[in-house]
Amino acid sequence: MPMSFPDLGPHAMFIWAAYAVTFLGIAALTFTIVKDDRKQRRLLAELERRGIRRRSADKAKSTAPKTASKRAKAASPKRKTASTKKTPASTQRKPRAAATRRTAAKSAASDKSEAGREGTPQ
Amino acid sequence: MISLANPTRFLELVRIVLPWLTGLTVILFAVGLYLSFFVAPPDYQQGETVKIMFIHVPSAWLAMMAYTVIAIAALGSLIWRHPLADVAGKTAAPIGATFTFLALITGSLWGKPMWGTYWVWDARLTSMLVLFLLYLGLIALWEAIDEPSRAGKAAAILALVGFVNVPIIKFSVDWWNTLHQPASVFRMGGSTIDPSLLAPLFVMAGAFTCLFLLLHFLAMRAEILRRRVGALQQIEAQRAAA
Repeated sequence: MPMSFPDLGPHAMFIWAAYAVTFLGIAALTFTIVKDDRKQRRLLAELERRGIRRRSADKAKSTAPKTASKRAKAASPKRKTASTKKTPASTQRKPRAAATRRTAAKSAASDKSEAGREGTPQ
Repeated sequence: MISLANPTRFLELVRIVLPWLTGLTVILFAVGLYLSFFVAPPDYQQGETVKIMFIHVPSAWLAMMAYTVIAIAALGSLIWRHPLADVAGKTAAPIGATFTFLALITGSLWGKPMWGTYWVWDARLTSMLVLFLLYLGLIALWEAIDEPSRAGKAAAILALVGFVNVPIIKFSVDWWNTLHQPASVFRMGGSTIDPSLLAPLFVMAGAFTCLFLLLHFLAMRAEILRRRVGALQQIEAQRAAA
């Protein structure tokens, strides 16, 4: 269905002028802002291409591998270190012996509890 | 919200939001203009000139909203001394000035056929002109002082002092006898405008608001990058000197 443009009456000129001014104002503002944004992005890219970076960016770059390796180190043995923290140095050197002692102690404790349960009147 | 105040995170957010905001703005403008020109009926008193309302009123709302954004940013700048607040305040000023200018021009183009004059020194029109001058003052202040932190502080004080004008604009039609019509959209007893005219007005207001956000985000990104470029140019100059 063809759409006919409405007749804007005797004051059409004022209506068109208002819309035209608004369009031009918004277009000029948008053009200025977009142009400035593009200019700054281009300048920044040029500077970075020449090897000039922000100190914070450099810092982040230089510390990135360190932190990554630290994270990798810390990721798997975290529990181990947490559990070995309170154990004496001798047991750290001989984890197997410590583990055996711990299992022995656990089994003794469970035996005790089993015994307690057995001792309770039914 | 506070984590977004980090410029790098803000730039990331802008990168994600911009395409969606652009699409929404275009759609709202298309729908709003269609409703304004092909659906909205002529007003029983003003005839077709009521179509000017669909651009005049959103422009005036945004003129005040932009100044409110500047005032909030001024608080952020003065209390928390956050650089992003400076950036937000500085970049909202030219956008607000443009919308104020558009509200003044479209208002006078609406006034001529309805009042018989382009301009009258009534409270609403005069307070809007004062708002426009405040915007120009803020822009001039930013341009006059080289150091961004000092310029930001001075502009923040001016912005907060000038904020008193915003409620004056809003209530000028109630406090004084003016040629400008009283509040007819947001008022205690409900809107006095017919829904057939109110719908296109709200759609256009949504479009203008999205446009404001879009332009403000773009301008803020450009300003953040400008500061980074300035810092890098300083580093380059220092290296060259060494």
